Amino acid sequence: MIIQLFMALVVSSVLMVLDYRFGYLDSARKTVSTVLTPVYYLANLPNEVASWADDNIVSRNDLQDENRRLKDEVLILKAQNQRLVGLESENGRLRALLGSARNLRGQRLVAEVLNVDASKFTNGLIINKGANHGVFVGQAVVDADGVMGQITQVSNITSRMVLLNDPKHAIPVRDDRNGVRAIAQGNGQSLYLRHLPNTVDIQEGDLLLSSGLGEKFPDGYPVAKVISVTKQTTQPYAEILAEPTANINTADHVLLLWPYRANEPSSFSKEPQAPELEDNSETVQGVVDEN
Amino acid sequence: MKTKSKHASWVIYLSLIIALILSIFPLPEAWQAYRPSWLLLVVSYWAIALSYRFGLLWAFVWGLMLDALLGTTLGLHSFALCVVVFIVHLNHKRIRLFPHWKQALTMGSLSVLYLAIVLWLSRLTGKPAPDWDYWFAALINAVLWPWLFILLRDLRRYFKVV
Repeated sequence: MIIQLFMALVVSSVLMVLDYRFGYLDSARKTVSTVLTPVYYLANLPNEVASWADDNIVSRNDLQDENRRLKDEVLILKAQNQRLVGLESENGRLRALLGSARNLRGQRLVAEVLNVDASKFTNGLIINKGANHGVFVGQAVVDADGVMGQITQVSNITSRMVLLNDPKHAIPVRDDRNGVRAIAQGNGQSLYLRHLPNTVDIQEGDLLLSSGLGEKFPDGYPVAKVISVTKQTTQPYAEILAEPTANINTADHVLLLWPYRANEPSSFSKEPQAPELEDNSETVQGVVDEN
Repeated sequence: MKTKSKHASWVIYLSLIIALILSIFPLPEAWQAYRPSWLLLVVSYWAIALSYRFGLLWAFVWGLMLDALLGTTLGLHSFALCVVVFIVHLNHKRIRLFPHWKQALTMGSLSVLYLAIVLWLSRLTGKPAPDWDYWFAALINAVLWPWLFILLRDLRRYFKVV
């Protein structure tokens, strides 16, 4: 009996070391999570029923109102987009003149957030796309308003992502106003900028964009808005807090980004065919909103 | 006799799967701390009731599944569950005879041990320290235990799980 306990504890300790220190168990974890996927879906069922009811039990008037509102929105976005096509090609020409390429657009996929509490000690989410859809560990995830986080674990049909404000997550950013670069690390609630001197030129209300330097996140997506800047001469570094622009706590749909591949045709030259493979305009949209 | 030889094990599996679902069932942010350790309770029940066949291997395997679901380091919950099941096995005859309030008290203390092991191992694997209300789950476990015990006992008797 005691030998059994001893063996069980030794085996689980070895597993923990292998998993945490060396990451040998990724395929085992992937298999187990894939087998357990129905559990996620069962736990998500009440949420599913509620949203089905939301979709199906609606009055005709509400639908007409919504339709009208959406049509207006589409019109406004289309008008903005026209301007963007011009700006985009102009930007491309200027960059070509400077000899620097800026790769913005790769493949995109919309994923749904499963409403389960599956992360006790971390800020994370489960989404309903996995390795079968080509999702990979380290992939960037954004929503309509900014960067959400990145993928940490993948099973065949679901994956787990860590949010920007997790204490173990950091993202390279630059200030949109003057290009000052920094590292934004989570603190559980919001983000703080690390190791910036007291003389740094960052003000409250500045928009921080991803700088693309870590090569995990594409360049130019809005990340956070500075909410407080405290400069004390007794402290070696300025204390700067920023709030993520993405709807980290309320998002129910997210967008997965793939890095740009050279052989892909430019997405502005064609209309998106599949509903899920969308051309993306929020990269620039965030900047346009700012203007 | 054929049905008898299967021992109606599906009741055990079903109860454990429901425990897993309840472990990740969405709750409002403010109620997070009051979520009982469902898997611990159900595993403890079967370890008390069927100690001759519900051994450490079960605790180990289902602990691994909880780890995979919660995204914690594989083996973390297995470790904690194995320790608890071991203690339960040593005392299962005594615990069975306890009145409900004393059983609840026992489960409360075992929950504190379980939560402590889970917390230590999570801290070792670099997770931030939770608030003090993390420990509240032990109290909830103790309050919930008598009801869960009666429910599972009746199910076990009805389906003749042996």
